Amino acid sequence: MSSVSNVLSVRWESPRRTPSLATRLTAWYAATAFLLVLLATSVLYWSLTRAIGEQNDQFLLSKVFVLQKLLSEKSVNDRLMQLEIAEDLGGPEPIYVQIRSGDGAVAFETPNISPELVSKGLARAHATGGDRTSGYKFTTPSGKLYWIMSIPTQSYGPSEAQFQIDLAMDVGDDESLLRHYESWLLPVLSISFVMAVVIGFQIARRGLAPLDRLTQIAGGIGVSNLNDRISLKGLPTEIRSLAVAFNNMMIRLQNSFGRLSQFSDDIAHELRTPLQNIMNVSEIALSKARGAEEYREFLESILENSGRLSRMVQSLMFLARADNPSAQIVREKLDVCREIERIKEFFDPAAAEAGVSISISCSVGLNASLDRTLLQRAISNLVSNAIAHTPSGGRIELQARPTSEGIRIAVADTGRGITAADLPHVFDRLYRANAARSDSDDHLGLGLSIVKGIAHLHGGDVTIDSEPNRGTCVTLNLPN
Amino acid sequence: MKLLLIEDDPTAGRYLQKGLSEHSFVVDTCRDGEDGLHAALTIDYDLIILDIMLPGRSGWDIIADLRRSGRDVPVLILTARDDVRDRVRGLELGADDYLVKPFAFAELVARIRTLLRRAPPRKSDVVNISDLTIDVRRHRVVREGLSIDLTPKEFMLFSFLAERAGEVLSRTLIAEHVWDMNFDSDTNVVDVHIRRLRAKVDDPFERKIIHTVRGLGYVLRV
Repeated sequence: MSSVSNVLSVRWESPRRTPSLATRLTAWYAATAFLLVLLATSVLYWSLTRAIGEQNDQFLLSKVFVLQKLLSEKSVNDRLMQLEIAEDLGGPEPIYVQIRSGDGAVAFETPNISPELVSKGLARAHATGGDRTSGYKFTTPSGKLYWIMSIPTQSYGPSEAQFQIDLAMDVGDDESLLRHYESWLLPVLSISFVMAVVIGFQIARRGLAPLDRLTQIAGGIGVSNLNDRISLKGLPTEIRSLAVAFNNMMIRLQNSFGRLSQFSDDIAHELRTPLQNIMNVSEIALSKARGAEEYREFLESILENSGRLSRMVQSLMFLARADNPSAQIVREKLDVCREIERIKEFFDPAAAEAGVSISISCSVGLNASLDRTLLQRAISNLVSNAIAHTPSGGRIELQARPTSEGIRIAVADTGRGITAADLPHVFDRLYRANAARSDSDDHLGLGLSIVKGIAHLHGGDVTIDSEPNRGTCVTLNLPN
Repeated sequence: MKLLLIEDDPTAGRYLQKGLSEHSFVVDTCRDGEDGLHAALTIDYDLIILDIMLPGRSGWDIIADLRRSGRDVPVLILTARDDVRDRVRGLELGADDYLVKPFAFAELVARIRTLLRRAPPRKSDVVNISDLTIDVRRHRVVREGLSIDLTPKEFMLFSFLAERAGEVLSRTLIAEHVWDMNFDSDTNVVDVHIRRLRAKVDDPFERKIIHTVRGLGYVLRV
């Protein structure tokens, strides 16, 4: 009993805590969503920087074209020309320029150009050859940011002089735009991470809700509501198959429970009759004074009924034991033909009285390691059934053959047989083909169940073939 | 013969004691394990009948203690559990036989007699009961001077009944002894054998010697 209640009260505790399905789904979902957001913002940031750089290049190149045009028209040393250049380069974002002639002398310089820009920034442009159509970013030691371009050019027109034009544009505003963008990155990423977790958890919970429902129904199953089923409506495919499996399990449970309660019912019925007899007989015996002979008769009747009860209880105990997977049997090496011969000898007179003959067909020297008492009991049950159901003039044959894994013993008769409707049930406990229960005192309808139990105890099985009015053959397959 | 019965159920104890006394055994009864062990260790009994489920000290402990103290008195175990492991355990501990409840009283008496006869007085070759003579060696039965022809199995059955003359023998015991069939038979097979035997040894004679005891079995009584 204690083991049963232990099984029933098992709690959901795994030895090491494994994360729940919802947690796992949430973690995966959040991580994926966060990575996607991170990737998107990085790409955006990168393309923004690139776009700003290209814009700066375009702008500075357009200035170069203007300067080139001016240089072609007038001498660079012209005072008017210098004013024109200065005006052209002015504007909200000041551009610094240094124009050098072919021999390297500075021909023009924006008036307020800072010396550190000239010495560090422009000097580096010269050093790298200075022929490029894209600029680069330069930070002066004092922290100012410039976009620098250095373009060699040629004035066309009369002079065709060589010039090197170096330009530098203050891009502090661009930079502060990028800083601004960066400063937003962290909060945006944090918020999206939190949201990914929250939304992911919600999604996981919604997705797993049918499982919760399943758990609730399974947890509420008891003897009284074994016919509860899980509705398949609206269940996702994966959970649907689980629910179908669960429902099928419930059907099997309900069936075996039904059989079990039918069995208890039958037992109670079978026990009731002899008990009733014992009670009646004792009461009547005690109701008045009687002679010794009368008392003796009463007591004999009580003893007979007790014997019936006792045999039933012992058969039921035997079956309960055979059901127990850890039940043990005592195997010994047996001369199978000798055992069968002995059983035939035992039953011969009873068979002869019924007008039935028993014959043996046994492979010579057949040995097997079996439980002797159980084997005797199984074969005796079968022979006793065969005699009871074979009309006078019939035959019973006991056969024993070796098989690849053990032996096969069959009891075949030419008796009345069993109808196809009854055949699947004959191994059920207390099942009797003809519903008349009071059929016989001693045939309890447990005989074939006991044979089956004995086969199972040996790790084997039992099969039955029968045809009405032709006969029945029960075959035991027993592994060695 | 002096027996010790260790059995906690008062009804079972009282009736077993009464029944055994009527079979001319002297019976002491103990109701719990401690008293039982004490009695078994201090008094010389010919046999001990021991229930396994006992208050105080279990039947297993009692056998173990008995054997440890060097007592080899025969022990017959009574139990409500018919389990191969229990049976093996009992025999390993040094029990001599084993009966599962419910059992027939006749069965108990038969087994007690068997245990007490363990070193049997030599069976005589010829059994004489009133007008009946059974020659065990030559397989011959003579009644009222007439020789009766029996098959080997019929002879075994008849001589078994004769050896235990006056003792009621259950069908189970007969099947076990004569055919070596070890099961509680539901069938009337033994009855058929007895009927055939009667046809030869009783029917031709006026005085019947094989008697049916309803609900119990058979007895040879002159």
